[in-house]
Amino acid sequence: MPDMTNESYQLLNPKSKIALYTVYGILYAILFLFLILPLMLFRDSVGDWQGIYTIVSLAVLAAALVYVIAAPQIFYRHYKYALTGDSIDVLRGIVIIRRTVVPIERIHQVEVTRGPVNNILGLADVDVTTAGGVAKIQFLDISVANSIAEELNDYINGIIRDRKKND
Amino acid sequence: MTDAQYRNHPTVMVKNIFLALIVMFPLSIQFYGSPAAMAVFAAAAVFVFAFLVLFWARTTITFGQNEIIVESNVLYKKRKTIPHRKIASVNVVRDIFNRIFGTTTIRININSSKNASIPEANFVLDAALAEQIRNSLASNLFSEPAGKESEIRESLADLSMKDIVLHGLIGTSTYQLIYAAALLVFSAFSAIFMNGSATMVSLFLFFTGEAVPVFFVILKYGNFKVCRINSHIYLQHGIVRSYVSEFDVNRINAIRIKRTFFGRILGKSSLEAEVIGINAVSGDINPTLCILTDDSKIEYLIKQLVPEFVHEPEMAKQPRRARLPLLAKTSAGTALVLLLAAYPAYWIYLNGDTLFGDFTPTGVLLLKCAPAAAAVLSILLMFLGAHTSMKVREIGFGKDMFNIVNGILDRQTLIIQYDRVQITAVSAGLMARRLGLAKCTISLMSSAGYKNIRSGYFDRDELSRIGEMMLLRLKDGTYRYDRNSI
Repeated sequence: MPDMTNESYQLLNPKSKIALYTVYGILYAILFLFLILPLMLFRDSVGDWQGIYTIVSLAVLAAALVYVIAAPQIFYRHYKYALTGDSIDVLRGIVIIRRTVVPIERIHQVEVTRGPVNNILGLADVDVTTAGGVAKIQFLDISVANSIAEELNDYINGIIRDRKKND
Repeated sequence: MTDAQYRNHPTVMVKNIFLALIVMFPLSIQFYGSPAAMAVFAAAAVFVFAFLVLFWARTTITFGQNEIIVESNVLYKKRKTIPHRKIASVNVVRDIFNRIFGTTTIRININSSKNASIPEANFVLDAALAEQIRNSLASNLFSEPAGKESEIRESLADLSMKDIVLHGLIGTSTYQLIYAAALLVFSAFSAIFMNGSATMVSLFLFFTGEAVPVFFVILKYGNFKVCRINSHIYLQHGIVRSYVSEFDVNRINAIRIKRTFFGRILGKSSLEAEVIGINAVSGDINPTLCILTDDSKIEYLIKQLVPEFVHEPEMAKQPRRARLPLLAKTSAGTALVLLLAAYPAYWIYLNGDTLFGDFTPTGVLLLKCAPAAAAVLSILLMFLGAHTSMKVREIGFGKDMFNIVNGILDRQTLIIQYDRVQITAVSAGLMARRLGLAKCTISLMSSAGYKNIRSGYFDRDELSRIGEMMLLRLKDGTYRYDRNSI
């Protein structure tokens, strides 16, 4: 259970790499079919364009393969999150590193979501909704995700209770 | 306010049946001559009419002491309760049907990021009754003096018909104007070099994409009036359909001073606001506080209308080292354009004689070169955009607010309150990280749900100040939840 008052960043569960490899693998397979199928189906009718299409498709597939292999490792290494007493701070990214700060006071709703891949691996995401959009803490252990959601909800309810008292 | 219950004015039923007839008439012509089809069509028509009558009869609105309740019981039972404290604005609209039947549409908007762009309740009542209810609601909800007339007599903005026409022509988007000009040039090109084969299509696109929208903008913003009473801003405009809206100034997240390319040349700008729960009245994503007019008038209007947003921070342009990531991005864009366009452009040049054989020789030559010219032009524009970005993009921090200046052709200065920022995200790519630079995305709740505003490349620590200020104001008690909480 991450400490809500500890500002040091937490790392993700290493299983997040498996989840990302699985998702990227599926997307790569779809991209492969999307690029290769037209070449197999319309081989005779594309004429002059066949050569250039093949070269572009192979270049795209090679670049995508490098990304699929390298991205999960880099994503895991860069991803850090911290829950402080008054904000959620998430550092993430592969090429572009993004630091997202959400004051807990702005949170309207906290949700724990589990896609099929995460479900198999026992992982979950925490989605925090504000009036200005949604921020996520991804690939957490289910128990950690649930306790974060619970703690955030308690914190928000505490703020609301305090305000009602003051009103 | 007593718990008075009302139905929509009966003319709503007449209007809906009239609109249904307009849709059904062309279909009835299709089915004419086939008795079976006509019978099915007639049954469907009876069902639609019965539904519209039932919908009118079984939909009610109750204005209670603490909430508004909308109930309907047609195909399924629905009861919607809108607590007064959630209401962001109460607006009245008079369209052509309202004017014919002497009615008014009341629209009630709430502070929800999901429903901000759609009115939560939409009711048509007799004009006098609607006015009475609106006044009663406004005095109850916003502490507005009861009996205030919805007609604005004295506007803070002194605008002429020339301002309204100019706003329609050059006040909205320069990109749209360039697109329209390109269509006109192409229609002339087609008439001269392509035997007129595409002239009508491009002229049609010009009229639907530019001339008609400009005409509607003029109709919409004609008779523009704006005023402020206590903490409330009142807007009224429209030549055929009148738009009347009001909102508490505390509902404004940010204001935007917009200077289009031609506006800048003429020394004119317009003023918009990011307001929660006002969008429903006029379909604006950002409610217009003042249409295109002289810069001096806009400055005066900001001081009079939204003095809460008057501050003069020290503005900083992007640092010189920001040229490097901008140049890298532009180079990557150039490589992509070359990759995608080089072969197709070459192929069209080689086969142009066959493809465009029916046109005049000059036309064929111009069309053969067009893809290559478009690719070169887009690369030049990317470099020009990066160069201009260095001159344009600015950021400035104040005590309660910060300013961001964006836009290559159409410039906009956004003045944002720290307390209204919901999420900040500071991001940097490989090169920007090495140079200590970053970009910042600021998420606000807006009239259309939520909105992200992006800065240019600035010092990473400077951009982090936005998030730090947000948290600091929460910690030290400067943040007033009673004014800012949504």
